[in-house]
Amino acid sequence: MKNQHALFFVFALSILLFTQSCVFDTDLIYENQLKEVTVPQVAPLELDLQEDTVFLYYDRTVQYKFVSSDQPIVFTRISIDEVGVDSVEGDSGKFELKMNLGLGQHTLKIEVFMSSGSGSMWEQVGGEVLSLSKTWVVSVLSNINRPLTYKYVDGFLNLVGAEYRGDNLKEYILSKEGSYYSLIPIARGLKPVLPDSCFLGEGGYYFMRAQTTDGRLLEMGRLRLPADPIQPKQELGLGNKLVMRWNKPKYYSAIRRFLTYQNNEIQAELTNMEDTVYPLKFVFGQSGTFRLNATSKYKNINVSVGSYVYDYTANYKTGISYNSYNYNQITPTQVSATDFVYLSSYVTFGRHSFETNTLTKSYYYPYGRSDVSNVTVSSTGKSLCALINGEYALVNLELMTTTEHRSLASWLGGTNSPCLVSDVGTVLVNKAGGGCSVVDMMTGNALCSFNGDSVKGLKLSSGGAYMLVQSDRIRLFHLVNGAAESVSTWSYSTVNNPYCDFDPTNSSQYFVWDHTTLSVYKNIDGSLVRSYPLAGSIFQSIDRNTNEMLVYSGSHMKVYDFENGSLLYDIPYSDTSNDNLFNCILVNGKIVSKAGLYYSFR
Amino acid sequence: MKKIRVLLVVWCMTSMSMQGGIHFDFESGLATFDMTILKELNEDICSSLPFEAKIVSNFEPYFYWKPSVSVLDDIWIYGLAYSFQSCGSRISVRDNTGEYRMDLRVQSDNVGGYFGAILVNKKYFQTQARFEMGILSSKFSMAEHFVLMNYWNTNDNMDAVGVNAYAEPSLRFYVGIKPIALFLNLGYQFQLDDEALFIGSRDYSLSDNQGRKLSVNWSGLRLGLGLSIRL
Repeated sequence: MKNQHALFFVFALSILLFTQSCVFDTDLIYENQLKEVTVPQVAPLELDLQEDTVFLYYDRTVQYKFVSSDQPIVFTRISIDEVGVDSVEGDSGKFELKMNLGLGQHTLKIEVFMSSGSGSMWEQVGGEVLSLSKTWVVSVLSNINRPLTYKYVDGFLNLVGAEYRGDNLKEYILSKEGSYYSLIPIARGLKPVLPDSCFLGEGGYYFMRAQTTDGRLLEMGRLRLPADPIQPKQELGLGNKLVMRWNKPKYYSAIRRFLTYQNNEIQAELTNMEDTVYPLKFVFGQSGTFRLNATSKYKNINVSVGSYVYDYTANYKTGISYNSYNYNQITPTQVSATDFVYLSSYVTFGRHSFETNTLTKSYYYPYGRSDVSNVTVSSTGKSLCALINGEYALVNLELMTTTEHRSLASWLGGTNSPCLVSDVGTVLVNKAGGGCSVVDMMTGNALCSFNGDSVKGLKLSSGGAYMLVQSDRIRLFHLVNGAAESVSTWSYSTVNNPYCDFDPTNSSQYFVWDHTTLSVYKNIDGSLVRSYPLAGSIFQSIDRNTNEMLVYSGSHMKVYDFENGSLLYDIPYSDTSNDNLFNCILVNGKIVSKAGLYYSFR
Repeated sequence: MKKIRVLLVVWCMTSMSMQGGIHFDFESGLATFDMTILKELNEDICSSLPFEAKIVSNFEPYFYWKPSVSVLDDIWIYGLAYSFQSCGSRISVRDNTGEYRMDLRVQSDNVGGYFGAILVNKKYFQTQARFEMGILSSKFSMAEHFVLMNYWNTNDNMDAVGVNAYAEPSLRFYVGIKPIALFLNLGYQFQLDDEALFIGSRDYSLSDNQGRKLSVNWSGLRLGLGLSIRL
């Protein structure tokens, strides 16, 4: 029995110890089988950055989505200038490129992180990644105050703006300011050089803007282009003809045609832009307006329908200017075969020579500062008498010096009127109340006098010995030893008031023209030398060197042979602005007008 | 626990004086365990890991040990029993970048009493029917091991305990000649409650991320072989 108890206790204790030592345990392990790692290919499915350099004109939102050839993209990190701006889990997102980066260049970096593909625990928790990155240069640009330039290409005005360097350009738009500051698009294109195909020189305010694919309009420049009209100018063309000439317009391709107008009367249609000369319809002495009327080829913003029409105007005078001064007062006077004297400026006489076609001499009157008036020149052109500053000046035109100057008030009776001058320094002075006297300018004394209310001195011969005096008749007097002897007498009617003067071609003769007949007589006895019919209204002058005579008749200046009265030239003449401007002279085959123009008829 | 074992030994010694005989049985075999909540916990843990891991062991059937002592007469059986059972699970993954292990281990010391009847009583063969009830004293431990490159290297452990009641009906088939017999046990252990595991005192019970209290459930078959010594 004791052995059984001992067996029991040993058995029980052993079991207790054994059971306590046998608890659950396991050595099972799940071994993760890794895959081979390959380098993936990453490509953007969506990325708004086309070029390696991004030109930034405004805040931009860049959207991206990448795709990997094998391993999935875990996350994407965006950094600018090595400062992270965004980090997105996954393969897509967006970020901002902002102007407040500051002008200049910056570095944009996009890093794409992919799992390795090994399947390891480290990969699964995102620790084992492959990364690919790409950098861009971000150039922040300003689009403020950019100027437009312009040039002409193939006959069109082209506006040249700054190039939009971004990668999202849709097109450039050229606009022109219309009414009420509205901007009207006139051209579109993919280059910042756009034409205004309707520019006819009128100028305008241009704006060039770049439109982006996301609908933004960015100004690429503006320009207030001044008008650049065609400027016709009067010129002496071939065959001594007056023409209007202009330069071929730089915008010639925009013009369909020109219409020319002279004094608002249409003259011609020009369709060849190489035609830049238009011969004026000539009427000597005429002032007027020449108008070149351009019609555009294309529709212009200034018109709702049809073509745009633009005018270029220029004033003209049918004659060549010799720049006279105060021509209303002073009649130019022939002083030699090729020269004439005129008032060239304030109290200055000029001598214009047709040999050189220039002003050859000037004479400045030193004794006064008032306007010159009542100018007369001796029939030979050697002496001049003019009222200057209240005094009559006697001027030697050959020497261009003042011979004498004095007041003739006592002889004139308080009035100022022309004093007919001879080559020898004597003048024929008409008194205010009637009567006249021949006065020696050197002494101031009268050589002879004619009294009577209706008496008026008409002409004084170049030698001063003869004078033509008008009363109830016209009389020729010969001054001999201080006494005036009547040589001959002509009766005249007030209706047909004759013109008489001494013959500038022969100082011993004088002539009388009664508007129908011109008669030449000898001074000495009044005998007739020759006579011929000559119709006209105003006698103008005789060129003593060419023996030609100029008479105005019915809007024509007619040149006759003084010897026989034959008509040599008939020149249309029109200068109706002032009756005084009818005064013309003949000099060396040219008609010189008081209006400051001359015209060569030969 | 030591007190229970001492009481068990004292009870055995005193019962030796009873008439009809005393049997000392030692039984061992495979037990299955319900452990539904802990299995779900494993699945939750496994799915929440940032890497792929597997549950390589999930409270599969495991050995149990069970000594008992009984007194009997011609029909009835009375006795005390102690049993020890243990099981566990493992979540595991390992490669050349790291290793993760999550081991759950539970074991229990069961103390109960039983009564039964002798259904068949032959010279070399005896069949008994038993009904046992008692207390389960469970120990729960969680051990996590995580190494990943140079970034992680952690070992976390946590222990908890639980107390539950159980009932176990069974049939026993004895073959042998006195004083030694071999027997086969066919039984099923029912856990009668689902009290949560707790740490230290009952004020701190264990729960999962969803707020569900964690408890062990030892319910399952008990298939064992044993050796019986009859005094």
